[in-house]
Amino acid sequence: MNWKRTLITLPILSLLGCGLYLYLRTGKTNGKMYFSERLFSSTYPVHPRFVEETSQMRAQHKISTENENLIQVSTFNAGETLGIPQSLLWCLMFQESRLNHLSGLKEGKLSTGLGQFSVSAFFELNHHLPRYISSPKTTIASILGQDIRPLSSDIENISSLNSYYFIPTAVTATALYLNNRWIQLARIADERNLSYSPEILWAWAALSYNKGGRTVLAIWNQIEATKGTAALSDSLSSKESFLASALNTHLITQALKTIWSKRLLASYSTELITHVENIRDCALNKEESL
Amino acid sequence: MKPKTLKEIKVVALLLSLLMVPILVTSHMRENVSLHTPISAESLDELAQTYRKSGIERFLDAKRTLQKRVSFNLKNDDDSKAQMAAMNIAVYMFPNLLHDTHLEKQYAEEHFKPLQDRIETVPGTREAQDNFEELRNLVWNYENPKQNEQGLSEYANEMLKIYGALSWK
Repeated sequence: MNWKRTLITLPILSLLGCGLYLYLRTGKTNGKMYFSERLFSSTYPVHPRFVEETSQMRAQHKISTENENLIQVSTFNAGETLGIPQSLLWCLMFQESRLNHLSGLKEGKLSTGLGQFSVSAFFELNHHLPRYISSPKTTIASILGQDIRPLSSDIENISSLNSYYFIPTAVTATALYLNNRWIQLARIADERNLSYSPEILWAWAALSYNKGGRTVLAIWNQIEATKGTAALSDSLSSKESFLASALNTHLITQALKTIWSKRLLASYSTELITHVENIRDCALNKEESL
Repeated sequence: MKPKTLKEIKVVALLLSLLMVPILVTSHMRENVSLHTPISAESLDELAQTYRKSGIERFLDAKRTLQKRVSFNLKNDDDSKAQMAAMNIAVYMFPNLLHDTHLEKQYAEEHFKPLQDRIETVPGTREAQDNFEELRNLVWNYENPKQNEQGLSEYANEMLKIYGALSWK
């Protein structure tokens, strides 16, 4: 009679397996996501041009093995805790600073370090974290062992745990700021009952990190005004639609025209599209992105 | 009541209503002229100047008038330039006027508006200055997190000028 039992249990187990697979692919728990590694690659950078560039950086001693490993480990820790795709976090820092944790330090630039933090980014992490996560202290401690706030770009003490020039702190702070952008966009999408894929929203969050939330919302408004709400939801749910929108020069220009003057429009649109291309080539799965 | 008195009341009422007609027409036309005045980032600069020259009460009056103009121009499909200006002013000053489907509405209502209200309540105080500092950082994170040479949009800049003036007197 064992074959009968097998005949009954096999379809049940298959159905449960399918259900679990589908849940893990798209499921959300308490606003955070389970990863399927469907969109974001588990190895990075993906595109050969970035692989070659990192090899050259090593050969020219632009980055030491020690610092590279520290960035890698810190990316893993912050990504695991906050639910951020690691390839996205690493590629974002690669794009912002070419992994130079002291970038902008000597030049006295307004934005500095691995994730090119500015005064307003420091302000958000030092004062507004509770608006995004319920227990910032515990979250940060679970990544670094203790709180790192108040954060600063103090050039006198670059090895301090509070310094953005200290690699583990910089990676964690960058991850927190990116996480805030994801939460900000998710809240707006939730309020409007727009369906979205948490993974695709990370890609939009990377845009928001670099160009600000207003730019992303202007693009979303433009998609909805010209193509309808279903098309907007599609851009938040499907990789193809996301790329089709975020790389559409006409759509981007029309969207940004509502915010920026003619003088800045062209350069701003070009920068934004380059940013999307770099994220696509560096962090997205090769089979799907190339 | 005597018939004579009643007649007098009727005559007075008639005269008053005759007097009211031109007053109402003039008032309506004035409001219409005000609503049709071109709207742009300069409208925010005018608001800042009103505060500097005439103080908080006149500023609040001028702000209410601007709100009416923004509301009118948001629906003005005949003038896309004015409509876009109205949209930008609404994001930074009157988010309640934005259509519910406008994706910036929620963020602006939750983040900019409460700080602006607090600054208007206690202008020129330490509290106002702290709120302004918060507002300034929120706007930079919203429009240009890298704080690079691109700067802020014209409308964000003008709004910050207004609340900077209110905070620091």
